[in-house]
Formats: sequence, structure tokens, C-alpha cells
Amino acid sequence: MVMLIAEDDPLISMTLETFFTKEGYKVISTNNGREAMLKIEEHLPDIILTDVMMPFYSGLEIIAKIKSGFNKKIIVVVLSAMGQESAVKEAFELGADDYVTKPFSLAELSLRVKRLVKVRGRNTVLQLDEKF
Amino acid sequence: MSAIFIFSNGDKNRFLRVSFTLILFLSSFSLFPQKKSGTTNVFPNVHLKHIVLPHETFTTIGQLYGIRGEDIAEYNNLEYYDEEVIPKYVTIPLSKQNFSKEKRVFSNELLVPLYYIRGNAKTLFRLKKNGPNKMVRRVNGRILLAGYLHTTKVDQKVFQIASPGTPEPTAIVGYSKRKDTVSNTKQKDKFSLASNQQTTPVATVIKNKANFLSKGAPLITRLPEKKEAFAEVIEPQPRSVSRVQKVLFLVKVQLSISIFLVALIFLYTAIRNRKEILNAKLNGSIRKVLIDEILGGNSFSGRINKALSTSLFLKKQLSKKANRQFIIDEIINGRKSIKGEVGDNFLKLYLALNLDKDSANKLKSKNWNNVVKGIQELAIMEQNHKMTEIFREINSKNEFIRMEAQSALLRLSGFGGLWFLNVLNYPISEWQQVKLLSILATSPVSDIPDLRLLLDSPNQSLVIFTLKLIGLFKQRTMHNEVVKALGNKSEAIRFFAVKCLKEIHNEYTASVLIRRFATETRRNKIAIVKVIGEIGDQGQTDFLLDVLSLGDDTFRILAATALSKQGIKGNYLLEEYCDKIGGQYSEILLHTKSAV
Repeated sequence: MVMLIAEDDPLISMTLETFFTKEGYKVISTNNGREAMLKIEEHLPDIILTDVMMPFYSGLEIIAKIKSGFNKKIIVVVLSAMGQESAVKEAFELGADDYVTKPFSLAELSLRVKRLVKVRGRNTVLQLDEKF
Repeated sequence: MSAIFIFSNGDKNRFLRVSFTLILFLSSFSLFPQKKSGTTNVFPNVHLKHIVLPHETFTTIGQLYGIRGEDIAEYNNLEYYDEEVIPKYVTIPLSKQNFSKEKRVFSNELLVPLYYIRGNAKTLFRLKKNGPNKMVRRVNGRILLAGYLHTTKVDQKVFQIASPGTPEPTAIVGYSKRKDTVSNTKQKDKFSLASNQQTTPVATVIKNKANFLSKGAPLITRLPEKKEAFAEVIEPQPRSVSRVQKVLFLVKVQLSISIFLVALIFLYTAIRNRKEILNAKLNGSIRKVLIDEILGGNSFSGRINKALSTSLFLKKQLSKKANRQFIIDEIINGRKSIKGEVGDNFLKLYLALNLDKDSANKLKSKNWNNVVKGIQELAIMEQNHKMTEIFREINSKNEFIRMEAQSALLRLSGFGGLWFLNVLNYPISEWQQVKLLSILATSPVSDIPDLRLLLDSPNQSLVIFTLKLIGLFKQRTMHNEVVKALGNKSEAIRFFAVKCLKEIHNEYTASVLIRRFATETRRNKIAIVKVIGEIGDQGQTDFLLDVLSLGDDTFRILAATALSKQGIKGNYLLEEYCDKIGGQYSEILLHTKSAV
């Protein structure tokens, strides 16, 4: 599974990268919205963990582009800060799959991602069955 | 190790940029005018002109004018040689060595007075301004004494000696108009060598100067017939040329300064960029080590200690204060963003690296920024054992330190930290109250201490904060104490007490407020009617009808709104009242009913 992390805080970004690499994901790390957009088009990740506030493009703009554009099946989890409830609401409206609020637990985040992957996989199988 | 890394990865462009900057920096100095070595002229544009006689050398000419032959050669941009001088004439500088404005004679010196002949059109003022300034004195009408030429060897054919004891010479024997400028200038000023007036001029005349003298200078006729003088003074160069030179010099200086500044900016930027790149690389390395430690595993503390004893890199970085602060900032950032086991590891790493001492030391700083930062660090990293040190700052003269210390105490001990409120000497600002309440909002409500004492505090802002606290956390057991606060002298306290009672009201609250209504201020009366509207029942309808009949429109609308909230009875009474008064006003009041 390819995971893209879009987070402008280098410590959080590196921590997530190290953690999820140990979890067995192939992780691509970016520290701004523009770089994230380019990497998404280049690598077509399965999961995106994105911060809300980032330079160049916000996490919401990234979600809007993914969900309205080339691949709606990408799992998007929003990393929001305290007091960004309205942004979280907007993210869900745009098609985000889940969110965690800082401070978040890495273990909990990992479980959420695994659950989303599992659900998405099941849906994909169901869709394939329907086609046959 | 880092140095090797830097140079081995050096960016070629950066190297070229730095080199260019250095070249620019150094070249800027070459534009500064070089100080001319040798003789410095007293009058920048005034010289003596010496017509070279056969067999004369620079040395012999120099002896005549009290100056070295080398200086004459250099002054005329010629190469010095100890043979017959080839040019037809040379200019002699009037320097400090051979010229003075005062008549001071040394033992082995002879003086030759130099005169300046003022032109018709020139005033003394203009002469002083533009010509050889500081003329000593007027000697004879238009003739001014400029100074004295000092020499040791005098050729009697050339000068009349003005040695000590001889009479003051006043006659003019030479003149100064340059041949190439005579024809195109009206200026008639002249410098001259002098000879003794009392006797027939002895020597002093330029050889073969007939053509030179015939250009119509006014003093020519006064020259002796015997034209053997060989020296003259060249008058100042035309003013316009001098001005151009000055402008050029200023432009040069400005250009040099500009280039120097640009070079300096380039150099500074290059150094700063290099430093930033280095710091970023170093910080990245430190961050990587930290994350490896944080995500290490169960034997965390042991591993950190082991890392401290073995990792030279980490040891080296910890020895520098700036790096320690970077690590503190990163750990705090991590602590604020990540919770759970990994979040706790940040705290363990903070303690294992003894960074709590760094934070505590900041409290001793004279800089308030550092103190505030130290308090924040200790609070975020939950260093409860430092509460005593933090407590000392709650009455700090600096508002920011004070606010941060109060916030830190509440962060560290929740409601338990409220005990500090008792000893506050300063009022709590509105902003600080909001901040403190937001910190307390995350604490367990069961920990709220008894707040009675705080309501009796002489500190008005503290009483208001306590009332807000009681209201926010619904401390109904404090109802009677809040009712007592309605009798406080402070209008603001009474106002917040009314608002607080809305949150902790019971069956007696409305009647208590109604009793206070008559004696309250307008602001508090409005607050009471609003609260009655929220907490009242049908028992307060009479009071609201009374308010409705008051002349004040604000009260009328508030009372109508409150009545419409009082169930069927309230609505009925409101409609009845409106029917009674009729007209447009009754429609407005009825509108409040639909709005509710």
C-alpha cells in the first residue's frame, strides 16, 4: 500500500513516515500542498494523510481535487488541529473518509487507516461482484 | 565531520556567488582615490612655473625652491633623472616644505615673498572664496601678500632675497598668467615672485618671456626691462574645471560606497544562506535521531541512556545551547501533536536529556521572553515539581510573565491551581479570564474547590472571574453566595452575579432578582429582565406587566419577549395588553411573540 503524507511540520511528517514505514506501508512524504499534488499524480497513492493548513494548497483543496478528479477511491484522512471543526466538516463534505484531531495517537490513527482500507477493499470486491 | 560534508557537497553556483561577492568587495576599494604620495600642495590649484635653463637638473631646480628634485618630477608626472631636464618648463608645487603664509625664518633658510595680484573684477571676498584663500594682508591696492617661499639656495639672478633683516619687499617682478589661458579669460589675477622695491630689481625676470608678457596683463609695464626672470606663479585653474573634478570625485565616492554596500549585502546574504542550509541539515539529522528514539520500543529509557553514552553525534549536539533549544522545541511540538505511548516518549526523552533544567533556568533570565518560554515549556512537559518556581511569577511586574504563570499553574494542576487566585495582586484581564476558563474546561469538574472565599476577595476582577467560573461549571451549591454578591457595591460584580444566577438558578432566583430590580442600574435592570425571561415562570407575569407599562421601549420589548416565553398565561396577558393599548405599537409588541 502506498501512503502519501502531506504535513508541513517536519517533525510530525517524519514521525508519521517512520511509523507507517515500520507498519509496512510504502510512504511518500511531502511538506506542502503543491508538492503533494504533484506526488499524488505521480504515484497514485492508496491512502493520503493530509494536514488542513499547508503552504500553497490546503488539505481541503487536495481533497477537492482528488475526489472530484482522477481517483475517488483514494482514502483520505484529515489531520486537523483543535478549533478546526468547520474545516473538518468541509473536508467530509468534499469526500474525506476520516479525521483525527491533534494531539492524536499514532496507534489509533493506524487502526483507523487499517479499518478504512478494509472497508474500501470490501466495497471494491462488492462492486466487482455486481459487474459480473 | 560536518565540515567535510559541507565542502564535499558544496554547490558550485554558491561557490561562484561567494567568489564574485568577494571580488566585488575587494574591487570596491580600488575605486577609492589613492592618496598622492610626495608633496601636497597648500593651494591645490596654484603652482610656480619654472622655465628650465640649460644644464638645469631636477635637483638644482629643487634647491632653488626648497623642495626635492624627486618631488618636482613626480608632481609633473615625469620620471626622475639626474641629468639636464628636457621639458621647457616645470611646475613647482607650493607645499608645506617650501611655502608658508607667515613670515617665519629658520636658521639656514631664506624667504622669498610671493604676491598675488588681484584682478579688477575681483573683490577680496571672491578671492578668499575662490582663489588662494586666507591672504595674509593687502599690501598695495590690488596686491596681496600670499606667503613666503622657503629656500636655502638663492640664485641672485632669480630672486631678490627676503632674508631676515632686509626691508619688506613689495614690488612685483613676475606675473602669473598661463600662456594658454591668457587669451580666453578675463581674469587678471596673478601670482608673482617679489623683489625689493627699494632698489632696482636685480634679477628675477624670465628669460625669453617677451611673448608671454605681451598679452596685456596690467602689471607688465611695471616689469623691469631686463627680462631674465625665470619663475612665475600659475594662477588657479578655471573654476568650471575644478567644479567638474569635484562632481566627478563625488560620483566616484558614491559609486564606491554603493558597490561596497552591494558587496556587503551579497556577502551577508551568502553567509546567512550558508548558515541556514547548515542548520537545516543539522536539524534534520537531530530530528531523525530523535524520531528513532521516540519510536524505538519498550526499552525506551535504557536505550536513550545507552545512546547518550555512545552516540558522539548526539553528545556533540547537546553540548551546544542552540541545539538543546532546538531539541526542546521539537519535543514540545511532538508532545502537543502526538499523544498516547509515542507522546509519552517525548516526555521521557525530555527528562532523559535533562532538558527540564534548561527550561527551569530560563525562569532566572532577565529577559521576559525567556521567562515566558521557560514557563510554557515546563507546563507543556507537565513538570509539576517546578510549580513553586512558577508560582513566584504569578505577581510578576511583567503582565506576560504573570499571565503565563497563571495559565501554567492551571495547566499543571487544573482546578487545584485556583488557590493561587487568593494571592493575586493584579486584576485578571478579560482575555486572561477567557484563557484560564478554556484551560479549566478540559479539567474534571469533580475537582472544583470551594470558591466561597474568592467571592469575598477585594480584587474585583477575581470576583467576576469566580462568578464566571461558577456559572460555567454550574456550581449550584454556590447559589446563596452569588445572591449575596447582588448586594456588592460594584455594578460590574452585580451584573455578572445576575448572569451567573441564570446558570445556577433555583425556585427562589426569580423573586430575588425582582426584588433587586428597582434599585439596580439600567444595564443591570436589562440583564434582570432578560434572565427572568429565561428562568421565570408564570409567577413573574405581574412583574413583567409592570415592566411593560414602563415608558422605556427597550424594557417594553424585553418584557414582551419574556412574557411570550411564560407559557399560555404569559401569551394571553401580552395579547390582552396589546389590545388595550391598540395601534401600531401593539403590533410591534405582538411581533416579539412570533419571534420567540
